[in-house]
Amino acid sequence: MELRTRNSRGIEIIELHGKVVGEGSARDRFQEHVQLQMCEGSRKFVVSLGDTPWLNSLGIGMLVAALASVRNRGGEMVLASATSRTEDVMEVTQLHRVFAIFDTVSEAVEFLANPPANLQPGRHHRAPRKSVADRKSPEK
Amino acid sequence: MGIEVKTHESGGVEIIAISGHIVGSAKASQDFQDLFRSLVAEGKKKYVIDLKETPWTNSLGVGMLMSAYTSVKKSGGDVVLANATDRIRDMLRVTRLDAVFSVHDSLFDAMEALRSTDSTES
Repeated sequence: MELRTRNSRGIEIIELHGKVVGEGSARDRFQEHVQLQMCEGSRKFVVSLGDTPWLNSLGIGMLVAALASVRNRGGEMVLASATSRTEDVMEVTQLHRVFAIFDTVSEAVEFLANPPANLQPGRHHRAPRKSVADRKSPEK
Repeated sequence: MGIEVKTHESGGVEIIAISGHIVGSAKASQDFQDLFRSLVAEGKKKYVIDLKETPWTNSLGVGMLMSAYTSVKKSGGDVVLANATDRIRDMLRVTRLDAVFSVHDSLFDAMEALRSTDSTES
């Protein structure tokens, strides 16, 4: 897993490239980057998963750990550009009730730059997508 | 310094008791995940994580619990927490993870909650 980071309108954008398997060193690098940015005053983060074919359970744990540290300090972290496979995992685990997920990074940035009064988790798609529950056999 | 994890089975429910502060070190997370993967592979579906001996967890510890939760959910099972301290409950509330992770006051309540899902699942 590779991290690429940039800043847009005061919002930290972290692009994850490769499989997010959340093993020790990748998780620690991700967590360290988020901690460092928070030390420098950042409180709003977008994690872009467009170049992440899949994430396993430890990868989910990695994202949740970062989300926990950001929300503990009054910040927010949202996801963007998740593949349908990743979205399926978020839906099966119901973590779409915890993370806000946007179709694109720019929509996520816009959302964090001008947050509505009540920030809701869940999918922020313009068009509804097919639910994983509609399928015969969910992907393993 | 690490955590101690004890596992036993009661009435079709796996009870995973953790003692110590859960700081989610890379090794502890991997070991905990390996434990859940092997239980899931054995076909176990219902889990209680008993936090009676766990005063506190940091964000990495929360990630560790959510990794286990994800493995269980993906296999069609269910996992709940029991005996969480106020500090852990606060952590789950602030992070809004209480929307997915149910927390029960006692092991008994947690096991009752898991049994009650029998009627709604095939």
